[in-house]
Amino acid sequence: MSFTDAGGGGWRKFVRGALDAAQTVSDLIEVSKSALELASGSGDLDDLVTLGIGAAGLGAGALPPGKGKKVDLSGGVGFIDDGLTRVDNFGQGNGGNLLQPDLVRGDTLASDDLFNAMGSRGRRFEVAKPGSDEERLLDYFGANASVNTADPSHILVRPDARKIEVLEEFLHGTQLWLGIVDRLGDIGSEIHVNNFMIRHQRLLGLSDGDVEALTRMRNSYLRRVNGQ
Amino acid sequence: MSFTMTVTDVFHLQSGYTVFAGPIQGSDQIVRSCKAELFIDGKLCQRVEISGEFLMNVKHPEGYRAISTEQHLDLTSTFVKQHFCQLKEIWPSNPNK
Repeated sequence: MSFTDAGGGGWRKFVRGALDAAQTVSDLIEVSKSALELASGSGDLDDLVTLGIGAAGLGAGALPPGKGKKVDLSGGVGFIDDGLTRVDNFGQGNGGNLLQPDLVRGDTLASDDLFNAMGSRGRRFEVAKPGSDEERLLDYFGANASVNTADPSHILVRPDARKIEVLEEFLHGTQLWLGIVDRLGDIGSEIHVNNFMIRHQRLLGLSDGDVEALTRMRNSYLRRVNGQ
Repeated sequence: MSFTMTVTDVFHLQSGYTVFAGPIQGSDQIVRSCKAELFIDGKLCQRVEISGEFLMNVKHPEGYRAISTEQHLDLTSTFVKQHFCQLKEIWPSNPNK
């Protein structure tokens, strides 16, 4: 496929058509390598991120809804009054911050295919091993994943990383490269990513449980922005 | 505007980054590459090249943040908890500000 003549106002339509027609992960990556180049001058950041997802083949590389390895949420899910950290029945991190419950982590584990697809796009994952300072850092914040602004390809995750956590950090990396994080700030960029992922549930192959978790997180950020 | 972080804990990652955690005053912006000075109990200890910020997928309830350096520092978690440690940005050290 050639994308060299797809510039101008019609590039989004062209690329979306090409993405729809793509049959394999390799096709998607090939389409989107060019898509990102075409989109880079458009100033349409949301579309650019959308195409970035297609570019990485992340939707196809991840397990589809209902077929991914699921997390059992039947036990220990307590009352949630914040959607992020204020949850009963969960343990405390080393910093005294409540650990994030499964209910807002999503119910699909990140697959090897997803890690491989992201690795092929230059992302490096550092897994927080039990007893390590990486684990202690995540515990301190009650977090489960982190991206480094000094090197957006560097992503810190727990051994039981969820699909939405890995995708989120991937997207934050894209946001950092595009200057979106500097423009919207930390919370603003979280809302931006959450909205994007909710809107593109099918493209990303997210389960209803994943979207519910994203919605809870997004709403908690909105409440924080609104001072509630 | 320059920032000041009161360091409440420190973490040494396998990737070579040392991460400082704590509240930041003076700036709401994402911390990028800059120079800072490390003060221990009010005394200037050394200059630190800040590389950036670790953005957590869950925000600390008290707004604590995590900034990093690739510099080797002999600073332990225990020491930081026993002393008043601060990182003060040397301003203007970031040309983007």
